[in-house]
Formats: sequence, structure tokens, C-alpha cells
Amino acid sequence: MIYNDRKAMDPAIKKDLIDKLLNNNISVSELIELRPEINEFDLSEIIQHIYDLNLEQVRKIAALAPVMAKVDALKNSQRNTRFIKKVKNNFRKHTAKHNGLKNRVVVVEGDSWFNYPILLSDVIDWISMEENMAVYSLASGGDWLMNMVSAKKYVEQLSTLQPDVFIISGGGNDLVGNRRIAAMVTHKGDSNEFENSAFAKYLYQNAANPPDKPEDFKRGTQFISKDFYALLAFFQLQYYFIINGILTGGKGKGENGKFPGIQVITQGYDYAIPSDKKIAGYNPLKWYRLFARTFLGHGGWLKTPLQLRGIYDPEDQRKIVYAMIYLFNEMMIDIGRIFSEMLGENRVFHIDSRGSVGKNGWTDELHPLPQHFKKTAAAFIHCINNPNKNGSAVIEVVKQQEGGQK
Amino acid sequence: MKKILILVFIIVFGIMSFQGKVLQHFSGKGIINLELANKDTGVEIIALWSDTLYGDQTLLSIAQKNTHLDFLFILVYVVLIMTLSNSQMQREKTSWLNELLRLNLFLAFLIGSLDVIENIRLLHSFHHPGNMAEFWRTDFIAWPKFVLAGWVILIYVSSVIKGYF
Repeated sequence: MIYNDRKAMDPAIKKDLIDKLLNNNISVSELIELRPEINEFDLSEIIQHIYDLNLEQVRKIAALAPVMAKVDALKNSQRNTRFIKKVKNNFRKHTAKHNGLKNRVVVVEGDSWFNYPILLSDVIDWISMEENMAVYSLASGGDWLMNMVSAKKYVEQLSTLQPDVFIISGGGNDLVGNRRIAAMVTHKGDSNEFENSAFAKYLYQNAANPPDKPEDFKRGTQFISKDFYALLAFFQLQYYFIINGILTGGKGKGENGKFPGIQVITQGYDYAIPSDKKIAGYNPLKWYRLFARTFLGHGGWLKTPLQLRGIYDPEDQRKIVYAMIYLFNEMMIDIGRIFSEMLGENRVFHIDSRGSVGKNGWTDELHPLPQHFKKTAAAFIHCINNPNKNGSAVIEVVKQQEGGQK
Repeated sequence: MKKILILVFIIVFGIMSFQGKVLQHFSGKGIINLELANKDTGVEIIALWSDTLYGDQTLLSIAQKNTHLDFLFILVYVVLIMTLSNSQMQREKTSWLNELLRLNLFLAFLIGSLDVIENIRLLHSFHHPGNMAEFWRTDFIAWPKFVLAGWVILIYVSSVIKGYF
């Protein structure tokens, strides 16, 4: 059978490679071999094995709560009404009046960093305020990357809107939603699965940035089980599937892409800190911290699941999340490298928010304060206005901030 | 959503204004006078409304209806402030003003809560016209309520005006 201009991989070999991925003993070359062969059916099979659930159960736990879905939809509706109003008015023909920058149409798919309704001004809120950017949002707080891949809402909008930029953020909820993080760790602190994971070691050795706290990273990996590494490789397969579809029509060659010149931007969160503390200061302007921490799931994403697994030391908890977020970002950066090599120029960029929020910059366990979302948004805005086609495809929020201050 | 809220707001506000004008016209005192009154003045106003007829009902009955309708009005204006402030938050690039618009969400809830407490106290006093002991003052609630409402409007309007420059 011919698939994507290539001879399709023997199903038995493919199954063998998927089994290796699930058992955390797939080599990097095998993962590279497997990547272009993966289709939606395979992705669905893999997720069922990682989560030990059937597809219906996986979909059930990944589904958005109805109220959440409605509030998210309302925010998207407001955003998209503004988008249409903006673009209708000759937006695509002109540059921005005030700063002279080229106008850009942006389509966004993502989770709560991109759509946090009512209470916070999230990353996309700040980007949308730019005069030269019209942003169409499909993002939903609490959404799983798996849902984004299977629902493919972005495909329709990319075809209709033919944007200059596609921004995607996902994976956080696949890891922490429904207390899933508990299944990705072991309480004994003697795991050597990092050493067994050729992919994770490859990411570490080829890292864009070494961890700023190597000892914390090492300690964190001692609690991480093989399921996390399988999920990490699975994330890369999902992102590869999405981006390869956009940039090459799934065929691995740039000339087959339906969206010539489109810029894809990803992000990978910051080092969240497991916590169930309700009080985080007494500034009345930050009243929403107490509200979010009391009513909106704070503690239930990271802290409680880790405690449920018997990991009680707050420092160990922090280090586990540190190691996970570190590797997640490096995996995303690797995606950019893959497509730079494939297409001969940077088309996939990564906004690296690691270290930008700090200890006291969080609204709750997972979401920064609006001022920190704004910092991440500034990096996105810089990347959209000044895409570096041949240099680094990684924009570090911390450095961007320092540059801005200078 | 915003348009519907504004429409309901205007309708309810219109009805309440009409009732307020009747009270003002036939007694020289409106609801706000009562809200801000001290014990002596408050008892005096309620007694006056109780003794003054407007058609086949007393002014006190109109004041009661006005207060009942105010519960709906509270709901509408709280949601409206939240909606408008939230919408403006998505346009306000200046961090501190964006943060103050976010504070409006909480203040709207606070203003609404104060107004509900105030209405409950007023309704109690309406049941005891001329009774000094059973008059429950509301001025200490009404003043902060109006100050907060003024602040909320000031922040919203400042942000909107700033957007034009």
C-alpha cells in the first residue's frame, strides 16, 4: 500500500514499534521511523494503552464539562466576532496604522493558557489587543491535545481563513486532567525510567537549554514512571501529525502544503508548582487568586494526585513537575527542529516560558497571573512580527523580557 | 448578550425611574432620600408615604413595588457591569487598568450584595411605618455602595476613553 507518497510500513513492524513506545524502550531512530507512519487510528490505539482505558472511557474523561464548554464558547464567540469585524475592514490589505507593522491573521487552538474565561486575561487576550493582529480562537480551557487532534476544528478554520500564523498549545490537560499525573509517577523515588528512555535522553542531550537546576531535574526523574515517557513520545507523534498535516499535507514535503508560508507557533507552559494553599498574599487587586484557588480546582491538578500516590514532600512534588515541564518543552523544541530540517527554514517556532512566572506569579497551580500571561504574549507577538527563518526558532520569554527592559 | 442586558437594564431602569418620580412628586422625597436618611428622617419619610395616597394605593405601596423590582435591577446591573468590564479587559493593554477592570468584577458582586442587604432592611422598615424602634437604617450601606458604583463606572469609562487615543 502506498501512503503519503511512501510505501506504508509493514503493520507488524508498526505494531512492534508502538509496543516499544508504550514500554519506553523505543530508540530515537525507531521513533523517527514511526513518526510519519502514524495515523489517527494509531493515535487512538496508543492513548488507550497509555491510559489503560477503552476509547469511550478516554473520550469521557477528556470531555469538557458542559458549563466550562459553554463559558469557553462564549469567550471564543466574543473574540471571533471582533476578528470578523476587524478582518472585514480591509485588514489583510494594509499595515497597522500606528506601528506600520504588517497585519497578520492568526488562528489559535489550545487550552486554558489561551482561553481562561472571565477571570484572567490569558495569552490570547493580550495578543488580540495588538493592532496588527486579528485572532480567531478555537481554544478551550481544559481541552486535551487528544481532543484537538480528533475534533480537527482547526482544519476547517485553516482552510477557510488561510491565516498567516497558527498557534497551538496543548498537552497540559492530557497530563494533569482527571488526576492523570498520578499514573505517571512512582512514589519510591528510585525510578530509572529516564535512563531507559532513549527519547528523553536524546531530548536532554540535545536540549536547547540545559536545566537551570540539574539536581532538581535528576531528583524529579527519579519519581517519573515509564508512562510519562510514553506520553511524551505520544505528544510528539500528535504534534507531528498536526503540523505535518498543515505544512506538508501529511506528505513530508513542503511543496505539498496547503498553506504556503504559514508560521506555526507552539508553547510549553512554565514550571508549575504543586500547591493547595488558598492564601497567596493580601493584595486586594489580586482578589481573583483566592477565588480561583477556592472554587476552580486548585490543588486538584498536581498536589492532590501526587499525594494520592504517596509523594508528600513539597520539594519532591515541585521537582517532578519541573522535570516533566522541562522535557515537555524540549520535546516541543525538537518538533521545530524536525520541520526546520525537513523544510530548510524555520516554520515551527516555540515560545519557551520556562522560568518566566517564578514562585509567586501564579494565580493557581497551573495558571500564571495576567501580568505573566502578558509576558508570554509579548514573546508570541515578537515571534509573529519578526519570524527568524534561519536562526533560532525558540523565543525565550525570560530573555525577551530582559531585552524589552533594556 | 450585552445588547439584551442593556435593553433589560433600560426597561427596568425606566419603570423604577417612573416610580421614583411619583414618590418625589407627591411627597418631595425619593427612594435615594430614604436610603441615605438617618433614623429620624427615615421614619418621617416612611410615615409620609404611608399617609399619602396615589390613586387607590399609598406611596408606601409604590415604594415597596420599587424595592421588589430593584432585586431584578440588581441582578441585571451586576451582570452588566461584569460583562462590560470583562469585555473591556480584553481591549485594555495597560496592565494596571486591566487589573482594575478585573477588580470591577468583584466590586460588582459586592455592590449587588450591599444593595440586596439594603433592600431587605428597607422592606422591613416599610412594614413598620412611624415606628422608630423598627426602622432599620441603610445609609451606612448606601454610601459605600454609591462610592463603589462611582469607582466602577470611573474605571470603565476611563478605559473606554483611553481606547480612543
